[in-house]
Amino acid sequence: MTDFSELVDLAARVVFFPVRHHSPACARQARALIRRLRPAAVLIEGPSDFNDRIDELALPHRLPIAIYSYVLLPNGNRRGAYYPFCVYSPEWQALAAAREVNAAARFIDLPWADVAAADAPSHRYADGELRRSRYVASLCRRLGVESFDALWDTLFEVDANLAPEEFLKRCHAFCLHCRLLDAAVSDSDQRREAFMAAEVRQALEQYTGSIVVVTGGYHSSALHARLHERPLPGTDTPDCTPRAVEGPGRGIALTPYSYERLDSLVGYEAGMPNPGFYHQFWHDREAGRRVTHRELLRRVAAMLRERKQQISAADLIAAETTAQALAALRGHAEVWRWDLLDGIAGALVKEELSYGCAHPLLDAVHEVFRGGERGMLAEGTTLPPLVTDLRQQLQQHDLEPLPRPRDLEVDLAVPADRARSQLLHRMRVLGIVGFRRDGGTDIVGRADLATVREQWHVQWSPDYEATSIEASRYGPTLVEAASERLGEDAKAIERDAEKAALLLLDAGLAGLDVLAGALLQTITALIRGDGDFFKVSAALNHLLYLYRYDSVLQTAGRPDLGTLLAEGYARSLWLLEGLGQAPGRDRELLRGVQSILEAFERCGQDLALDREDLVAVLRRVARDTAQGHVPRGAAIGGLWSLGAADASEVRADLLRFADPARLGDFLTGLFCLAREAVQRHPDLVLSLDQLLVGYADEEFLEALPSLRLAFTYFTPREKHHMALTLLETLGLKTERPLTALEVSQRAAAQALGFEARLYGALQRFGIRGVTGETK
Amino acid sequence: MPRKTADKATPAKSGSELQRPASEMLYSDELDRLAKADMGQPRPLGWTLTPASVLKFVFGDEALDVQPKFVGSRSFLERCVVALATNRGLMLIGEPGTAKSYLSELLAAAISRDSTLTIQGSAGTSEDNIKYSWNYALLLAEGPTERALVPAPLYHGMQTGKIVRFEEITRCPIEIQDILLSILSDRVMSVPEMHGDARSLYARTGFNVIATANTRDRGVNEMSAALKRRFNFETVPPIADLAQEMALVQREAEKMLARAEVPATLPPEMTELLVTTFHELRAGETADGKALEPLTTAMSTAEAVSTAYAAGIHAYYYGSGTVVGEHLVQHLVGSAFKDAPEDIKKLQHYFNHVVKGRKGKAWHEYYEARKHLL
Repeated sequence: MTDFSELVDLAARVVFFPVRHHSPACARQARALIRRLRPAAVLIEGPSDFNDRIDELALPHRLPIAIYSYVLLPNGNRRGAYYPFCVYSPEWQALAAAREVNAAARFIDLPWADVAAADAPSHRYADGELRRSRYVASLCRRLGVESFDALWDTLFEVDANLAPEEFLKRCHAFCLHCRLLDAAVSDSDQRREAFMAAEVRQALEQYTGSIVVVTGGYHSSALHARLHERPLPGTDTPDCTPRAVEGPGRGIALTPYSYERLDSLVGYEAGMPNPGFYHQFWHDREAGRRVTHRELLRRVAAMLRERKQQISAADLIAAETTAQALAALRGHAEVWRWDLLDGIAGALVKEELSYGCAHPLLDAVHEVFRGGERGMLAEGTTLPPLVTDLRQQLQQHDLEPLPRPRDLEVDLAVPADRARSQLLHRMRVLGIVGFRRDGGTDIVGRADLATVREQWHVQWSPDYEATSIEASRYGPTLVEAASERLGEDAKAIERDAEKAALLLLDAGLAGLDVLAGALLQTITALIRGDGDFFKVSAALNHLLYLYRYDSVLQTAGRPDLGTLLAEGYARSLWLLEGLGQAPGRDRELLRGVQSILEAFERCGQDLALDREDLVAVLRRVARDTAQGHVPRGAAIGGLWSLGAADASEVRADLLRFADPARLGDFLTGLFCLAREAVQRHPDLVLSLDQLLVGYADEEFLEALPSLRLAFTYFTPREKHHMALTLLETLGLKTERPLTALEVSQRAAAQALGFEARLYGALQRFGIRGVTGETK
Repeated sequence: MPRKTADKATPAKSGSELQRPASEMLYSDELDRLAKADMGQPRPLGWTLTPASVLKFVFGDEALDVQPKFVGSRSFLERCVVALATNRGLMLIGEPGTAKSYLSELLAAAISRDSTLTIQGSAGTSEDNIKYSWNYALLLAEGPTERALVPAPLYHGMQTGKIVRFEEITRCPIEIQDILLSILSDRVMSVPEMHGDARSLYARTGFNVIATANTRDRGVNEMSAALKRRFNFETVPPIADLAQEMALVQREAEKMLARAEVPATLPPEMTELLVTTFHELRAGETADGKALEPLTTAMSTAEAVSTAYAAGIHAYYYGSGTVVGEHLVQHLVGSAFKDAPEDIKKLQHYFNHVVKGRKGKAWHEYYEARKHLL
């Protein structure tokens, strides 16, 4: 086994303290060690380009906050990264302890801007290196725990009385083994370590006393090896100086953060889960209390009772007992995170847990474990970058909120107005108080898009400042923050493709390129996961608009939108087939089928949509007796207008629906989808005529209402034309169905006058919609 | 170790001539080794093994040469074991074919070294089947004496401090289920016919109840809230890991084919097709996140095994001896879907929209065989 005696020598000039970021145990131990050794300097893994403002961290902030570092890459992309601090962060406690013992405190990591191009994770206190090591997997098996997080807690967190030497040894051993059994140390990690080692050397020259180096445990052994020239894989890169230079696109600042955000990080970005639990645990330990789980159980119970779930005292006793017993079985000194979780799940859940284990009760537990803390920067802190950006942009467009209210109207066709509108929409998306859209063109309903205008109301209120600082946790610039916010909104949507598509419209209005990255996946997942034909086809309709027709929002023809559109199209087809009966929703259903066909006709070639697939689905729907008559008629109509069925087939199908109770519904579907084809084929009208003539009176009356609906799909002129064709085919050429209407000039003028008065009245009373449809 | 059942222990050593020996017979060596290893360590009163050893018995332990017997999450099993150590019973619920009964047998064998105290719940289960009845000849001759009383599993379990298994509890009428109410809370059974101390049978330590209930059948006789309170509910989930499930199906199907002396080959890519289909239809979601309509058929691992087995027999007698996609499709309907025309339609839908788009020869052949889905 490796010899750790050098690494754990507390009398050494440089003591390397390994941490897992956001580990309360590491925080406690690091603080104790610094208090005990009283070193001359404490060097911490953190952005060294923040060193000149490191004192700002000593202000009375409300945690969690984060250092935010951002950079404009040579390829024009903006990237940013967070170094979040909560009260139980080892880095935070090390800083505080250094102040206590009057030690110099410095960050020693390479500025993030330097590694940003290498696509490093943007959460700088993630623990991907430890998490993915093979060592962890084998240790989990050996110790009988289920995951890295559980393993870490078992080894380091649960036992509060671990001696500092033992802790150091264990943590060094664990992190070193992770490193040794891991594949390769990444290039950017090697560069960072070289930089950190150089910083340590420099500090050794600068300070006379001892030095404590607090870094991620993965790096500790490497720094030690570099400093003492010991062999270790991944330490052969020579010392490195930062490449990135100061520039206009680069900056670093403090910004508020939240537990919600910390908990939502996954994959390579993931850190310690359940900040709410560790927060409570930290404060309990600080106060000398040992029963963190009881307070959390109390909160879960309170939350459940608030949500009208019945939780009796006996239930709580059972949950507590089960949790205690699990802790005993697992050898935990006190009831731990997943003991409580399992205790509650075991004792309180009385139903089958669905696949994926979602349950209102467990949701409440997760919410309590997540914690609701939101950070706030102390007065005197440099303002977060978002606030600066936002003020600057508002000023530029003369949109600053003033105590005196202002009403603005913008015309989206005018480029300058369009920019203002985007800015206002971004403010709206971020929930910054003082900007309200009062009215304007309904771009969602798309009733009349000839001119696109918006009315806005802008007024200052005391909440304006607070909400803009609050919003800075979403990002340093308005565009990034608004995109992030939309991303969060998208994640909050549950199985609703239409809402997801509307979100895209919102993004278009705010001029945000939200389809970059994770949001595209979220929206794709929403479309794939939605099982409701009506919602998915409505989403398809919005997407089709954005991709094909939109000129105002300038989204037309974007390839990523095309991918989404193809996804929505495939999903709509899929759902159409399994639709079955949907009474009372015929209109929506037909609109859905129309959207599918329109998507195919307009974009089929661009997006390589498969005609065979569409025809196969429509054929199956047309034949499927479990489907309603309307969709079956629509499917046949669709096939006909696609040229996949000819008139004789359609006529044969017509006879199949000859029953008076079904005929009208069938024709509604058919006419809606094959309006033009029907007019081109007089023989169909003839067959229909024969069918109707064959009806007895009662049968005809039964069929009449739905027949009338079916024929509303034709304009009066089309109906007239159909009647003429019918008469001609029947050989009744001389008979004219309608005598030409003779209208005197006077009567026409009267009618026009009446119409003008009518529209005037409609407008006066604000009745919309009627005028559009009668045109 | 149980004392009163020493007579039963004799056949336990040699279970080989039995069709299906109980777990405590089949694995008696493993149980002996575990018991020896945890000798003297604290355990719940009346248990033959410590809770940690119970986990080892179920999940296997290399050091003591104990084979793994069940695929599932560790924390789930820890919850089950802990529930049995508290004053509540354990209710295992889940889809048919998720190995609930098997798990309850393993737990009873590990904890009490006796998995035979089993009540089979059905519409016809009566109080006599659960508590006790009388040997009427003796009852008439001697009156209500211990000799005349014929103990049913619950009586026996309480008397000897053992785990009692109640299979398919929700298939019993609700008033029969509620017999457990007072027994689980007061841990006493009253025998009103007897006199003196014998009127009340107090449960010895070590007694508890593992009930199983099938979520498809629930609703026929819904459980009372009072009884629910006395149980910890644990959902036995289907196997979440595709690779693990594939390995299990492959192994079990091959075992069954070997037992039937049918030398058919089941290529691993065929198992993959089959298990992927089962997995996706059960989860209601494809591997790439597309939602599927839920089926009424339980797409359990056990059904996947029997489909693979049937396909193997088919391939041997009517084919080349190697299972191909066509065999699987034919038996999907017969073995798994049985009589559910709605589900067969959904299966066709699955083939038309999911299987069709999959790459690879095996998937393609599988799709081509969809004509058998009738």
